[in-house]
Amino acid sequence: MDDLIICRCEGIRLSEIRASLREGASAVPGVKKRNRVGMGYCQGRVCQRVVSELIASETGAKESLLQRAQSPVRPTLLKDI
Amino acid sequence: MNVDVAVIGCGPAGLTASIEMAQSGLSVVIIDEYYRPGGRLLGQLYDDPKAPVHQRRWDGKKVTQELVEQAIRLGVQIVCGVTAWSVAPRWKVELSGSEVKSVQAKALLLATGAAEKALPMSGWTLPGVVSVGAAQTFTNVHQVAIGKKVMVVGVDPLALSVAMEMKHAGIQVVGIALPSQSAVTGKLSSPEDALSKLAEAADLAPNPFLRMMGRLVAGSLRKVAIHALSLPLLRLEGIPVYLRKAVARIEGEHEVKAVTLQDVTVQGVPTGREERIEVDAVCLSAGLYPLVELAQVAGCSVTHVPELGGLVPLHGKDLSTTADGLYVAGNITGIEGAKVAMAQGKLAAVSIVQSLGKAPSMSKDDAMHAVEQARDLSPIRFLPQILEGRAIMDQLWQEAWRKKEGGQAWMI
Repeated sequence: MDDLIICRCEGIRLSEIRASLREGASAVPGVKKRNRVGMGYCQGRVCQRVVSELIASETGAKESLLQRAQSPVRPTLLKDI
Repeated sequence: MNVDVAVIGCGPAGLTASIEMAQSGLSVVIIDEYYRPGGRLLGQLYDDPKAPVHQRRWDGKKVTQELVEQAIRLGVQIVCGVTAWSVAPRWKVELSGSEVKSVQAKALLLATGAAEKALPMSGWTLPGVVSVGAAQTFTNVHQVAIGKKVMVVGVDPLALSVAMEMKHAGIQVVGIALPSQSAVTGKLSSPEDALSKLAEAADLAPNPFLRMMGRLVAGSLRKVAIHALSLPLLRLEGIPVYLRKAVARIEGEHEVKAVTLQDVTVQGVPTGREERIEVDAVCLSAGLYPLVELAQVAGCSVTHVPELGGLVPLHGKDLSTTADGLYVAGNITGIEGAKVAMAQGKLAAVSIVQSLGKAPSMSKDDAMHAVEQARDLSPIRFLPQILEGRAIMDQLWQEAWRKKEGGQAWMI
């Protein structure tokens, strides 16, 4: 099976996310700090839930593994902040 | 800008709420990121078999227009193409994309709706692959065909209705099929599960055979229905619904050229037989999740209730939240149809109007009852366990409230 792009904004592939889990990441923030998944323009709006499902399927976690949202919650011009 | 109430999201919930609040004498502004009002209402066009005969045709654009006209007549300010990027208690809404940099309001209603879940599979980033919501917007809002020959991946109520809408618009929909085993979680999509989801859309399915299949799975004849899975092709208004084939790959070097289908067992296990269908567009459907970011930033408790679609703000039956003066309505509370969202908008408005010392047009009890009624009459149920989800939320809310009040009885 080919190595799927999961985070389209940052071009992060499935194998890179799995590697971060082997390194000890156990929730979305840990994966993000290792490979920038979800840190692009859309801020994880597309991939964060996929990453979270992957972690849940590997660890059996039932609770939400998503990162708590921070302001600004949408792509925003710097001049408006 | 100073108003009594700021509403984030100009879809069915936000618009309906704004009308009730303006009628009660409150000043209201609605902020929406899209260039025009209506939210997901804009893409909706179907016949609702549960509605009274003269109201069967549900034309979301027309509904939007009527709501917008009414809101504007009542003095509601509708601000489109502007992003609310943060909110802070009592209540300041930060804006981007407008001259006005912030709105100050006594109460805040979050009617932010939902977003689509991604469906990563081989070839999913190729040009020509779109989400089911985008396909609906292209087809019904902009009258743009996403392709000449389209394959729909995902067998669920939204995918079925968008497939039919594309067909009505003259696009050749070559089929609807499940995705094959997930590359991410290894999970199989089982035709059995898909059938029970279809049962929820049975009222919308015009094909009597499909309707029967849906009912069979819902009832005690489940095993018979599974056996029926081995029967020749199902068709939905002429569109093949492949319950025993799954889309394994989307193919093409620079753009979509074809999809590869795999034969699968009733549990979704590939049998090894494959076939290739040439298409120039693929539409992916993986479900929706509530957009809760602003609620989180506002300091409102959110909780994970899979039956409602994921993370949702903790809220009471009257749609108040754990943050004082912050209310929620529509898909942010759980994934349901536009009519439920509208009833929730009205209920949230009644709660807000009362909290600000004005007289609403109906009692809270009546508004709550109207939400339940809208749910009962809903033509599509997006989440099979929505009623359980609502019950779980009521319980979580009461527990939270009891803790807060130190054991005192909780009243709405």
